[in-house]
Amino acid sequence: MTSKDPQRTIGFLEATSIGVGGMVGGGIFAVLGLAVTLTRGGAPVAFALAGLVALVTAYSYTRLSVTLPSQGGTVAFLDKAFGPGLLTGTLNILLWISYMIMLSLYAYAFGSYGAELFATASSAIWRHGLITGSVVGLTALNLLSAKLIGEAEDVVVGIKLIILLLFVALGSWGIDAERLTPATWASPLNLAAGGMIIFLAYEGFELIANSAADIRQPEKTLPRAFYTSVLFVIALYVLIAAVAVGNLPIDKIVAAQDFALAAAARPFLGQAGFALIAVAAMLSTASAINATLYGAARLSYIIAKDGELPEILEKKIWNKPMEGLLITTVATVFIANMVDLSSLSTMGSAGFLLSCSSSPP
Amino acid sequence: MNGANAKMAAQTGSRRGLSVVGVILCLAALVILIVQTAITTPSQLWILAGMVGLSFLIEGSFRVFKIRPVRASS
Repeated sequence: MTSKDPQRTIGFLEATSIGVGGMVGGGIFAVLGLAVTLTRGGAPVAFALAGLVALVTAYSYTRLSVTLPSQGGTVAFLDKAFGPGLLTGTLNILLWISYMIMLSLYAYAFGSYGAELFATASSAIWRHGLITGSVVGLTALNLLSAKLIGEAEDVVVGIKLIILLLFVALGSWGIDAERLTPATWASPLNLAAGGMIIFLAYEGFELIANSAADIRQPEKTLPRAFYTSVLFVIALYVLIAAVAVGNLPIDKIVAAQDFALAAAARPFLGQAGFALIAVAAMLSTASAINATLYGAARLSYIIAKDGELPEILEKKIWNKPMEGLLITTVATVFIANMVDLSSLSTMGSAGFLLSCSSSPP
Repeated sequence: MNGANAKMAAQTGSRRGLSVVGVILCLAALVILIVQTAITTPSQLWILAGMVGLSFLIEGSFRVFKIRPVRASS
């Protein structure tokens, strides 16, 4: 297949939207409050620091996907560079586990925003119910009609971006600049650490690499799509953090850590704004769960085909890697109900950072 | 990924230095993350170690017990 092959159907805008949609999934809804808890008024700086690491890593992804276009993405790049050794295999399995952690984080955020929206008295029960229901329900939908879900996915990406841009546009009028001055920032170590704990909010840009074989004029399109999507999301996250910190006192954001974005909308959008952001969070995290479930199952299939997981994970039922999907689902339900937000975020970011560094053994 | 591209820089037509900077940034970020976690919530380090240890254990057992032949991904 050449770069002018008519079978290559993905252009610059589509490739960029894969990257943006992958990143602005559920991460920002889940970790905004945690970022403010750790970095105080310096949250926008923390998002910029994490974005810088993502941007440098995007360079490597760009060059690798232009040279080695493959649906295998990260797994294929590691195998090509280092061979199928013990460390490469460990990193591949770690990537699968990191996907489960990310899924758990999205499910946790879905449950937290949903519990605030639907109930107050028994919010813990609601939260656990919604966490479990979201993962099990989306697994079932994935099995029943992946095509329908794929089409709904595009609409959801558009809706969540519009709502987030609306949040930034309306909230920027009410920013109290005093709340963003360096005097309000955490110490430099806490600022850097906060940025790295929320690094997982940038997880998803690498999905562009998985589509490299279908991208038109990859030599030009891939670099533009990678850099545009990462730069756009850095700007979006920095602005969201600035609007949140600039509109709501830090102690109130900390108190609403698990559903901070909705709480930050209340000062300038009222209760309706709170509900709107909570609904957007549930839509976003549900779409992120759906996309990551499929990605994780496919990853387990690719690793199994390499011989690094049991043969049963290599089998497809109804053209889907069923066993990998079910194992991912069960593990996610367990982790999301048992582990808190801070631990999930630390684990997810650490796994992603290890994958991004992937230094030679 | 930065390490992979640094190693294959000649093949991918990349500036090796930039990918090496990426490796350093990611590892520095990881160290900061671990140090901060050790200071504030050391119990989380066990979960982190468990995650990496489990990956190593699964991969290692496949190789030690030669459960299946391992091949490179295409």
